[in-house]
Amino acid sequence: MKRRRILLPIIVLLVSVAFIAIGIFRNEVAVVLKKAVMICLECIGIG
Amino acid sequence: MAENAKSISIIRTILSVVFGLLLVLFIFCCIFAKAQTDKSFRAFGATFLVKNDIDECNLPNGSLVFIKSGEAKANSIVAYEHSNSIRLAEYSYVPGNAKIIGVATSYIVVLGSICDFFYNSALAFGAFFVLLTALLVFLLTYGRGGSRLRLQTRKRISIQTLWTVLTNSYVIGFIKGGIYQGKLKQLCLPGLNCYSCPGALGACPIGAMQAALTQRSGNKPTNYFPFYAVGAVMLFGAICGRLVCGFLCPFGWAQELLHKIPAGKLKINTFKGDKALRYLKYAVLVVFVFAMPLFITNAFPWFCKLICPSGMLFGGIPLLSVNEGLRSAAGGFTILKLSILAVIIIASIIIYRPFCKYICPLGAIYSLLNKASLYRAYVNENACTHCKRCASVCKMGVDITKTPNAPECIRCGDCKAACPSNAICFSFASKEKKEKKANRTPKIHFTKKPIHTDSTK
Ligand code: SF4
Ligand code: SF4
Ligand code: SF4
Repeated sequence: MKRRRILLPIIVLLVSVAFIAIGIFRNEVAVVLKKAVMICLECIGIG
Repeated sequence: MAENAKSISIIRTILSVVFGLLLVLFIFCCIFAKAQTDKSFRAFGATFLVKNDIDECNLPNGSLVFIKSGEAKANSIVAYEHSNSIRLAEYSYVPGNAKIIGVATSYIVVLGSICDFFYNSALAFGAFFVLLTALLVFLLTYGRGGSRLRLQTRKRISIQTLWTVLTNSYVIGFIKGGIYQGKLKQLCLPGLNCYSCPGALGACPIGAMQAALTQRSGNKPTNYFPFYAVGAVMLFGAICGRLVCGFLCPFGWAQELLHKIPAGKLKINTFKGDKALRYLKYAVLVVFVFAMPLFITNAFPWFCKLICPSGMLFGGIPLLSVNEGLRSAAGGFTILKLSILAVIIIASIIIYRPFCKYICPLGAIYSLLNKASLYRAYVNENACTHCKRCASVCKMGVDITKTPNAPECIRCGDCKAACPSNAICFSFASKEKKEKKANRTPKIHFTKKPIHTDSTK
């Protein structure tokens, strides 16, 4: 039980790091930056 | 004891005066920055103008004018009382160029120079804003007594406030009606922090997920899963779970403050259907954040477009109130989102964090990760007397003795502060170590008697 308590977060942590790495590799960071530096009309209730 | 109280009161008085002075300076800087942006601005009965040539201004007597040279910086601002008899500054200038040669000694000029410095440095302006808030938070918390529960609430609201201000400290954005456009924006923040908030320094993870899913090549999606944004949320979740909701989310903080508004008997803890309604947020996550942006041909961030009240509160309202161009484009969607925000605001006064409990897709992801996070809750069964004090103070409706890491627990720590037996703790450490720690006598003493009495045993 105690092992599972530590194991699960470690697995999630590793998966999250892998996801971030895949995201960076697939250029998703640039997509996020491009979206975030422009005023998003949908967010502010215009688009 | 009396001496201690006296020194606390002296410190508080000194800090209050400092805070007051800094606040005045901050307001002055904001007005000045506004004047720089608009070229002309009226406040406190004075006209603030930014012109190249003072003779262009054609001012009535008594107007307050800042003159800014295009070249020099700090000492290029001069205050000028437009009256033949009173001149605050000795100056000379080349008409049409407003090149200030004399440096005036007036306090207004000093203020003008400080304001100019802040206008030209967004970082300094942001730091000033954060410092001011930190001082306010300190004043509101330092040296004030209360029960353990009250101290915990105050501590948490302080952290929430500081975090919100820190991550939204691009002050110039609020004044100019624009947003921060630097490189930091590629980083996802942990909470529902709209990237269209003028002050936001990072990206909203839910917005980032939708941005990735709405990428198209022709009519076909190019990205079927937002790895980067989901990875970032999972990382925060794996470390601390829904602690993010309790401490690091601006919209959670806003709902928390709204719930402090007294509403007497109107306040409700739970109602019929409360439990079932909590599943709605998972549906919102799947439908509005993933399915609709991915599959509907019109690629829109549908959650942002149709629901998100955080975007309207922190992005829409400040931008629309300052930016005339945007205001003229407002229409049906503005009304829809303003109405949703209004409903959430009213509901937040009555119910504790209604958006977090029933709608928030980010909260839904963190809920799923609550059981799988390194930081977690422990209940020492040997110490627990089952007085149910913890469950009675929990505003999220969790009984921590039954489910220590329930999906709905935002790790606010209220139950821990309320537990008279000190049986609850939150930590990264192993259970055994923590159980020992949990059984220590509390460091903070109760000013009120704990509810745990013989009759409740
Ligand atoms: S509108 Fe809401 S979901 Fe969209 S980016 Fe802004 S805060 Fe995030
Ligand atoms: S549930 Fe959503 S809005 Fe509420 S605190 Fe968590 S992330 Fe923020
Ligand atoms: S169980 Fe405790 S920590 Fe969790 S939400 Fe309730 S009072 Fe806060």
